[in-house]
Amino acid sequence: MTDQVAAVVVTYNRVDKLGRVLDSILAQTRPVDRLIVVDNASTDSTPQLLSVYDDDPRVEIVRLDSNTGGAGGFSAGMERAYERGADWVWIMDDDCYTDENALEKLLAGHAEAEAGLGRKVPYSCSLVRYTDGSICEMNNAGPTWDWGRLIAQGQRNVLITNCSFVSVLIPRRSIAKYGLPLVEYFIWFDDMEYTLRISAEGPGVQVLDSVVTHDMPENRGVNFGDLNPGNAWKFLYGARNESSYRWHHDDKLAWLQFVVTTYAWMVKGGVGRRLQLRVAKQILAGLKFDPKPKMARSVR
Amino acid sequence: MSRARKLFEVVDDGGSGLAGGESRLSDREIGLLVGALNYHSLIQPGREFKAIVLRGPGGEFPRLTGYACHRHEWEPNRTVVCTVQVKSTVPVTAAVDSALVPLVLDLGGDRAEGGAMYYDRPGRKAMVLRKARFGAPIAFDALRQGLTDYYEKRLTPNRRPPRIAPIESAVPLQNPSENGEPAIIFGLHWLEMGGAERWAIETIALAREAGFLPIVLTDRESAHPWIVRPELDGALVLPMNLPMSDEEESELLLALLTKFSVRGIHVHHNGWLYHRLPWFKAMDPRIRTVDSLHVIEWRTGGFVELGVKLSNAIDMHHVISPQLRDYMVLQRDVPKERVSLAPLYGLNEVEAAPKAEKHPGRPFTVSFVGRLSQQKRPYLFLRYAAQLKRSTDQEVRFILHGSGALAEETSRLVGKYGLADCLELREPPRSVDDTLADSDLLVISSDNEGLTLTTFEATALDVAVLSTDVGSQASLVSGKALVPRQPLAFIKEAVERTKAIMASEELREQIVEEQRQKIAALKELPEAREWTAKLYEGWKA
Repeated sequence: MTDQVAAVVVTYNRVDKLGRVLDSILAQTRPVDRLIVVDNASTDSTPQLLSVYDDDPRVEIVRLDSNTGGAGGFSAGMERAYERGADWVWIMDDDCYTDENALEKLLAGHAEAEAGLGRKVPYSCSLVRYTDGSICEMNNAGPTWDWGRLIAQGQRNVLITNCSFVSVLIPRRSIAKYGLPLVEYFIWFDDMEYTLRISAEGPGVQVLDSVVTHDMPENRGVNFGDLNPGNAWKFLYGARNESSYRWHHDDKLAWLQFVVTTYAWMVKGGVGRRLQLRVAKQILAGLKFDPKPKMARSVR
Repeated sequence: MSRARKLFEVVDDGGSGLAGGESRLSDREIGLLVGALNYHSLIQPGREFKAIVLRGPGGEFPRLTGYACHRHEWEPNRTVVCTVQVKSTVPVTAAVDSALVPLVLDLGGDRAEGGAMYYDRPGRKAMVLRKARFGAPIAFDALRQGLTDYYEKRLTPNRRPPRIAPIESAVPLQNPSENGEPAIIFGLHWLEMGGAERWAIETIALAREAGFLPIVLTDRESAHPWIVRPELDGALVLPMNLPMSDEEESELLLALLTKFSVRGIHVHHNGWLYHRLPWFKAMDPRIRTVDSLHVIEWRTGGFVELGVKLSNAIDMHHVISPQLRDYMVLQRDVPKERVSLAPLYGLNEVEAAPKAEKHPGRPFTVSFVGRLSQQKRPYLFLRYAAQLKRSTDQEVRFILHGSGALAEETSRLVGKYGLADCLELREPPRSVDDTLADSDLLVISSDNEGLTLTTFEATALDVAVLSTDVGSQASLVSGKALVPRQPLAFIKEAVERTKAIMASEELREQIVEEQRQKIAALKELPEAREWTAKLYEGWKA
C-alpha cells in the first residue's frame, strides 16, 4: 500500500494568506492524502474561508477552543494525523506557499538520504525562500559539521541539526519514538526543541530541490536585540523555552553560552533594563520548567 | 470418544475407551491419553507401548511426556484407572525393537488450569502478597501499576534482548518427507479458556478447512479442558511437559520434520516453539513461519518481545491492533512488510444488531462485562461505582456481569462498598447482550487489553464505552472516554467523565458515534480470519 501523507497547517488570524497556502498544498504533484488545518481559535473570518473546503474529503479542520500557540497547534495537528494513520506528516505555517513539487521532492530526497546514509532519517525540510526569491532569513536550517556528506555523494541534500516548522516532513517513526512537540512551549523554540529531540539517532536533512516560499512581512531573522515592549511576550517565551532546553537537555555550558549571547544581543540592541530583567526572570524560570512530551496514540 | 488423529493402533483398550465403547475416562481424559500416546508413538515409531494410566486429585496437572513417563512409581494420591497397550503406526525406516515400552501416563485431575496468579501460588512470599493484594486491593494495584510504569518507561526500553541473526544460508533438508501429509504446526500455551487460545483454536480449524493436518503443541501445564473442542477433531494434539531431554527433543523435532510435510508453523503463545523456529528455518527454509501477537506486556515483555527477538526466523508477524503494528515497525524496527495488521472482530454482528430502545424511567445504568480476573480489575470498577454513587444526586444503577477467579472478592466488595442496593451481579450463561441492552455506559477497567470485543458489542447496542487507555483501546473508544490506567487517577477521571455523560445525552451520543466511526475505520483493514485463510491457501503450493 502507498504511504499516506498528511499535511498539517496551523493557522491563526491569517485569512488573507491561508487560502493560497491550502490551495498550493492541494495542488501538489504528489497529492497529499489528507490536509489537516488546525485553527488556533482565530477571531477573523478564518472559519468562513475554511468552510469553502467542506466538500473536499481530503481536508479536515480541527478548531481549537483557545489559541495554543504554534506549539499547541502543531502538536494537535500532528497527533490527529498520527491517529488517522499517516505514514508521513508534512507541517508548515499558514503563510507558507509550497512549490507544486515540494512534497514529491521531499519524499524523494528523504528516501535518497536514507539510502545514502544507511540509516533512518528523522525528518527532512525544504529550502525556504522569501517572496522575492532570496533565502528566508528566519528559516535557515542549522547545518551539521559534516553537512556536505550527501552532497559529496552527488545528492542535493544537506545534513542539518535543526530547522523551523516551515515545510518539514516527519516520518511516523519519529513521532512514535519521540512523541509530539511540547505544547507547554506555546511559541518559539518549539521547532528547535522538536527537531533536536527527534534527531537522537542522527541528524535530519534539508532537501534543496524541495522549495517553499515564506510570505513574511519582512525578510529578517530575529534576535534578542529586537526586543521591545510590543513584541516582548514572544521573546519571553523564547527565553524560558531555550533556557529550559539548554539546561535540561543540552549541557550547562550551552546554557551559559545562551545566557551570555542573549545578554550581549540585548546590550547591542539597546534593550532597556526593565525588559532585560524580565528576560532574566524567564531564563531563571526555564531552570524549573521542563515539560515532558506527550506520546501519540495508535488509532488506525 | 476422541476424534483426534491417532498415530497408533489399539492392542488392548483396557477399558480406557480408546477403541470406543464403555470408558472409565472422561472425554477430556481420553483426549489427553490420545495426545500422550501420539507423542510417544511419534518419537518411537513402530514401537509397542504398555501404559499405566493414572488419575490425580483435582488441581493436579497431567504428566504425559518427558521424564515422568519413564518413572515407575507415583504419588500416593494417584489412582490407576486403566492399563492400555498400543502400537505406533508411524512408518519406520529401520528395524525396530519389538520389546514393549513401559510408560506411566498421569492424566492429573480436573480444575487444573495453568496461569495461576502470583498470589495463588504456594509459599510464604505468595501468602504475604495474597494478604496485601486482598487486604487493600486498590493500594496494591496502585503499586502494581507504578511498577508497570517504571518498566514501560525506564526498564523495558533499555532491556532489549539481542535479536537472533538472520539465517543467511540454508538448503532444504536432504530427505524431507515430501510425500507426507501436508501439515501446519501450531504452538499454544495450553488448551484452555483465553483470548489468544480462542483465536488459536479458530486458526486450527481454518488449517483443517484448507486441507492441512494441524499439529498442535502445548508447552504449559494444564488440564487442557479445551482438548475436547470440535475444532480439534482430526488434529494431532501433542500436550508436552517440559523440560525434556535433549535426545527426546531431537527425536520429536526430526519426527515432525520427516514424518509430515510441514508447510508452515503458526505460533500463538508457545515459548518452546518460538525458540525452535530458527532450527526449523535452518533445516528447511521452505517452511513458512508466522506468529500472532495480541498485547504488549510491559513488565514481562511477553510474546511480543519474543517475537521481536526471533523476528529473523519469522516470515510474518500477524498483529491484531494498530498499536502493536506501530510498536513492531516503528519502535522495534521490524520491517514493515513483515508485519500484517488484521484485527479480530465480529463486525457482522455489529451491523446486524438492532438498536436498543431505552426503557422509559430506567435509571442511568453503568455496566462491567468481563471475566472476574486480575487483568479486568472488577474491584476497581466497584470502587469507581461506590465513588460515583457518593458523588451524584442522580439515581444510578450498576450491573457487574461475569464470573471468574475473583468472584468471591467481588461479592465481598459489593457489600463492603455499600453497593448492594444499586448493583446487580450477573453471570454466564446469561447473555451479555441482555446486560448491554439494559445499559447506558459500559466501563472497561482492565490494566491491559488488545481490542475489546465487548466494545464492538456495546456499540451495536448504542452503549457508550468508557475505558482505560491501554493497548489499542484508542482504536475503538472515543478520545473523550479514555481514562488513565493508574487506579486512583482512573477513579477520579472515570467518575468525572461519567457524571458529564449522565448530564448530557448529546455527549453520550457523540461518544457512541465516535465508536461507530472507529469501528468503520477498522473494518477497512483485512479481518484476521480472512487474512489467515488466505495465508494458509498460499502455503498449499
